[in-house]
Amino acid sequence: MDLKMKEKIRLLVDGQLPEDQVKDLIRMPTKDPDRFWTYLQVLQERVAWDDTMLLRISEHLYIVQKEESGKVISRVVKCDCGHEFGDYRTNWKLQAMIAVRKTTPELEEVYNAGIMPDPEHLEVREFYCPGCSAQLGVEVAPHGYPIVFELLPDLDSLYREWLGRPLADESPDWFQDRSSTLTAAWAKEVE
Amino acid sequence: MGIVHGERTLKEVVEERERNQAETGSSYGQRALPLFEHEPTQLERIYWKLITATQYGRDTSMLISTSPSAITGELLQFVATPDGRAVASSWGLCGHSGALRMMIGTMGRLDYEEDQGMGGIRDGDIFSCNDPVHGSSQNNDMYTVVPLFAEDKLIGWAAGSLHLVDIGSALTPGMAGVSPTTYTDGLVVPPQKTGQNFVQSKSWELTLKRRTRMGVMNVLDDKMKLVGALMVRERVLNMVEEFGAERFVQAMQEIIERDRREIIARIKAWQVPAISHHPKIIHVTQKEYLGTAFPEAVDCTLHVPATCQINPDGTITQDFRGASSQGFHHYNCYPGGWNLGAYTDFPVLAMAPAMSNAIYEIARRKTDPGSICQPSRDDLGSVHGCVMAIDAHSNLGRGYALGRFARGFLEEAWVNEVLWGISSFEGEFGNGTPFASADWSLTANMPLGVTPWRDGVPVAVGTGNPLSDIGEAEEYEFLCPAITHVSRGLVADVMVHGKYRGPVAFGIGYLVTNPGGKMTFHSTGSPTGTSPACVVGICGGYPALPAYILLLHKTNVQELIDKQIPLPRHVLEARDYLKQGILTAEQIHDNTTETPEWEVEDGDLIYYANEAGSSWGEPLDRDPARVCYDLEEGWLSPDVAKTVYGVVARNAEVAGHSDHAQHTWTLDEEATQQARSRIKERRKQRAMPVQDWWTNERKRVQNNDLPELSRTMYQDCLQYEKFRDEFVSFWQLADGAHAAGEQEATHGS
Repeated sequence: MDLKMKEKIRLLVDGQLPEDQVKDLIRMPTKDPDRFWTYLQVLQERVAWDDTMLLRISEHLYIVQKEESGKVISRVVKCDCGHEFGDYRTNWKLQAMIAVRKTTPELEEVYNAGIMPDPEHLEVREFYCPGCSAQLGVEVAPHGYPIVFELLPDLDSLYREWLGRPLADESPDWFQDRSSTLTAAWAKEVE
Repeated sequence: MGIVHGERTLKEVVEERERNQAETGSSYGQRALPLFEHEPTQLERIYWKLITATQYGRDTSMLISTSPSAITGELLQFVATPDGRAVASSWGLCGHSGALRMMIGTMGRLDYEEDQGMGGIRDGDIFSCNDPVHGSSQNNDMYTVVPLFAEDKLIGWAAGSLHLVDIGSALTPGMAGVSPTTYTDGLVVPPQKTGQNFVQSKSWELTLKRRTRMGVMNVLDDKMKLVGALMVRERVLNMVEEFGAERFVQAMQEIIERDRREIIARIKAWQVPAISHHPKIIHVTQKEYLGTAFPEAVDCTLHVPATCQINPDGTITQDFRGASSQGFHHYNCYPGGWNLGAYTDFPVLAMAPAMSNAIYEIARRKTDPGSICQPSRDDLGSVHGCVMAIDAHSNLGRGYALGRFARGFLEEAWVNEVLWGISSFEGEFGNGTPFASADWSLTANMPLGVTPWRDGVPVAVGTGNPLSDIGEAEEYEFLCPAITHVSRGLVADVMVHGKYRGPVAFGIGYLVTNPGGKMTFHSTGSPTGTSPACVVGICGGYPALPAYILLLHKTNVQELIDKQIPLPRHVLEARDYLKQGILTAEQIHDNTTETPEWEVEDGDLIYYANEAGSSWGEPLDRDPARVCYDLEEGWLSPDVAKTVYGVVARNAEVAGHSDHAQHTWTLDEEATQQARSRIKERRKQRAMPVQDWWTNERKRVQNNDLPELSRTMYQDCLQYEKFRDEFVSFWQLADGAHAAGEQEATHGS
């Protein structure tokens, strides 16, 4: 691995790479082919847990492989603090904490100049990590709008077809939205 | 024997184009690209000659005949294949290059070539079109097109496009806004021959003069586009002489396919196959304005879902199914509107020297027939259909950015958020002469979207619309002499907070000055109508703010001027003046982005704040040093630094005159740590598990306990399978009936 590039990526992730050097990266005629692996290594070195990262999906969230006795048993969403949100095919927001801003005073706390989404029509939903209270997602949505599943990656295609390193636990089942399984279970609890 | 090179008819090449794309996926069904593979230098020569031809045509024609509005830069010249696919284009609003394939498609399918009433298609003919059903993005955008004949055969097209300063819309002149039907949109011209022998007809000139306000300017611009197209023609014919017609046509086809393959390769190298969702909401407020004249034109909330699916083969599925039904408003998007929308993909996905048709050939669009994304009737208002499409594509771009972020290419993960605004003024001068004008400053200078490594940059770019620069106040005052700019500048604290904050908003203040006769003002832009750009923020950041307009009617501004009291510089200062009683106004209107016609008079003040784009990441992750920098620059108030970012900084030094004070802010690390801990503690107190929230909200949905416009929106969209599945499965409803109620959507048609 190009150590110089790894250091650049580390600084880039921290927002500390000087702008002229970021521009150098932008101007590269061909990107470094190992970027993805370098990036994962940089990210993996920053967390206190050992589960193998498969993909970063947000500032604090990663899809990781869970193993038992050397065998992959699941792929879950995990916060850098270590909190796990369960199977990545289920929208991680459903396992988060939520706080909703509905009134003008509540909105003014984050839209401080008084220019804001209209509380008559919209609410601001903030999703926090149950482990570290980091704000992981925000939605400004009409009342009653389903929580949005932001990103469902096709990991098997990425690793096999685009990266050339197939995952050991490939299955067509991995690229499926399973969120409704959880909401169905919730519905059963209340009915 | 047809007119097209290769002895084919226009109809045949158009049909072949569509068949090839559907059956092979490649632009012209090519397997190999002989020129690209064996004579790349010659291919590059042809490519760059085409680009320079279009740029030469653009820059020179503007010096010959133009209106002031054209000088601001939207003019695009481009050159296309015989079937209408753009190969190269100049600077300008590059999204227009996609429209020609539609226009030529109509001309081919309707057999214009054999149309004896029109005289067929011949060398020297001029065709015009501004119909979003058949070519243009919206009717404000008029295309002027000339066929390129070599050795008596059609080898391509040269075209010019420009947004006309007014297109004769019934209700909101200038940059048209409120318009429930195509008949209120103004002049709509399907593809038609408007001149021959390289000269526009007198009847066409008369049409522009009679059916648009500021017709003389539109005539000037029409001549400009024609001159530009003819200059491109001249250069292309020289190229044909140099390379031969056969090779020239082959090169054009290979350039498009080469670009298509390059985009696909880059997607595979930089992104992640995935599905991501980026819906948007638009509020349309028109009922009060349209009154009883258009009883079907009601206030409504429109749903614009945007699902970005990057496929393993590198193509993109752009899924807008589940959108609101078509209706009597101005957001119906015909195919031409989508062509413009797709230009927001160009700087992110293509990054080629010039826009070509390739960008349209890597993506497939999914829409529901009868929705605003695919109207089934062609008589609906559509002046903002392309605006909706731009927003929708802009939101799809978040999917591209997230893919690059996930893949580790943070330097390429920028959010190409199209935030813009246009202020339109119209009325009559004192002598009865009608006028209409539009200030495009907020379109020329959009912010550069936020990234995962730096803040959004205000007043930075005009992606796709490279007008000159922000220093155009005098030009717009020339276009509308009855306005004077009070101010232009960034508006502190109007921004979206995050680890990397959105760009600081840009504001403009206008003073209405002696309009003479009647004068009205309206604004359009994006993010549109109350909502932010997208429902979803990025990685814990907040989505962009809607634009904001404040109109102060019948003010005491003359008194302030007489007393030499400086007028407010921006919207926040104006509010402050009002609160303090320094400034008075008999009527105060405010609105987010889209306003109907407001009558204004001498001494009225109008303030616009826009371009507060989305942030990336959560505010508590922001480097305190960046917060201190914002404090020193004056973009952020200390209170906001503390309450939003949990950053406590001390104002260590104040020097100089109060108007030019130098502030140095020093971080109090311990207090910052404590403040951030307190914010996190407060989050814990405010928050609940999503399951609890879901249980409560589900009852509201089941009981129809939702704001009326939201309820109506759901009632409407539940008729579409994709949204119904998502909505019903999320809330675990027996069917869509709960939220849908038993009523029918009232804004659908």
